[in-house]
Amino acid sequence: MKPTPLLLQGQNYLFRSPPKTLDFQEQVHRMGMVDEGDGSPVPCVLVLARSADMEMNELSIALAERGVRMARIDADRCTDLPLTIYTDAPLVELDRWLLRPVLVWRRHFELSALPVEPGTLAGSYAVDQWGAVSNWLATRGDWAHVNPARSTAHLDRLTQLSDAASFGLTVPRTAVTTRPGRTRPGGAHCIVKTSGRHLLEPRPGVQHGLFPRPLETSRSSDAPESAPVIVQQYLASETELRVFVVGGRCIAYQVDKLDPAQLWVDPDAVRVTPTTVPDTVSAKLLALARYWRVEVAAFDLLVTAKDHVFLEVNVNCDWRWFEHRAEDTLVSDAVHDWVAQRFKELLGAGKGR
Amino acid sequence: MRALGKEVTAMSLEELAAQLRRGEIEDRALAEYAAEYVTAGKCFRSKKDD
Repeated sequence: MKPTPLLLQGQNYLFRSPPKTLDFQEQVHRMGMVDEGDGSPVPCVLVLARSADMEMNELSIALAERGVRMARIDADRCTDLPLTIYTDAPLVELDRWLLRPVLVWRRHFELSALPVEPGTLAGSYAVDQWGAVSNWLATRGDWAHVNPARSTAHLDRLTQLSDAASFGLTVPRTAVTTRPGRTRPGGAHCIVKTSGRHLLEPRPGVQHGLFPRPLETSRSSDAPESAPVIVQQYLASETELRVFVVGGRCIAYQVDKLDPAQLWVDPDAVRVTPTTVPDTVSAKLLALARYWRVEVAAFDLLVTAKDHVFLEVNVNCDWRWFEHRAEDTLVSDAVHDWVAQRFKELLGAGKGR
Repeated sequence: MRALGKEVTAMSLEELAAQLRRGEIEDRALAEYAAEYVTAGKCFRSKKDD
């Protein structure tokens, strides 16, 4: 019998995300509380996400405050969604509303969240259809996109590292291996982390965390893991930074924690404070963001005695966790303003007609 | 236009969002949504994804 994969051992983080409608605009439209206009297609921001994406739920309210229509397709609520997407016109009929998406943002629309019976033909069918259509929606050429999937779909953690190094950022020595017990890039002390997502969803709505963790120095098993993991050089650091890039602007937080997993298992013990990054560092991050064509993303950096070290970038980044601990709304405000501004620019350029 | 069997006057998105932010919602169904939203916001504060 194969041993439990290293990254699944001792991982007790479990989060249940019920498929509940929390989108303000969806709620008020369904309840017939909004003036519906004359029936013409309504220009909108179209978001593909999941119900519990609180960043997008907050965006819905913020755009409503600005008079911008936002519509939503959630992975965990899409299997009974009345939806027609026209191919010869940039229009969508969502429930009883005719919409003209001007700006599309796909984030956290994970197929594993679809409420289907795993291992069944009907379930497999629904997942496959939604996978194909959501990919098309996220790349369709006659709509503009936030973090376009065409350029971000292949931005895996290993590509990120090589790109960051080519832009002059220091990166930890890294290996990808099914034999973590025998691989020590850069010295005896290493971190092991996922090469894929931070949360796994083996059953719809039940998410399991995969945290980076120190690789035990005593570990020398030769039995291959069932899947390759990232083993990375451990670098002693003074602190860590989370730097959000929003439309060409950097918003940074200092994150002080005792070990990598504390972010998930003991979040109240993590100290998050607003900070700034040196101009030389922010210039490199902004250059990378332009190169990757991402408008909203989060960089994780280590601050060592002599350098800022790139760890990873997250395109589907969550910012409310950091804001809550820092007691501010800097990233939310920037994202809401940027999306509203981008929407109005596109509308002004005729994309919404 | 009806919500929960009661006549409601259609408003603009801006007006409805402003009501929500001020916590001055008169419609019962929307007030229930607002309460659920606050609860969900507290619950998801501990969720850390990417």
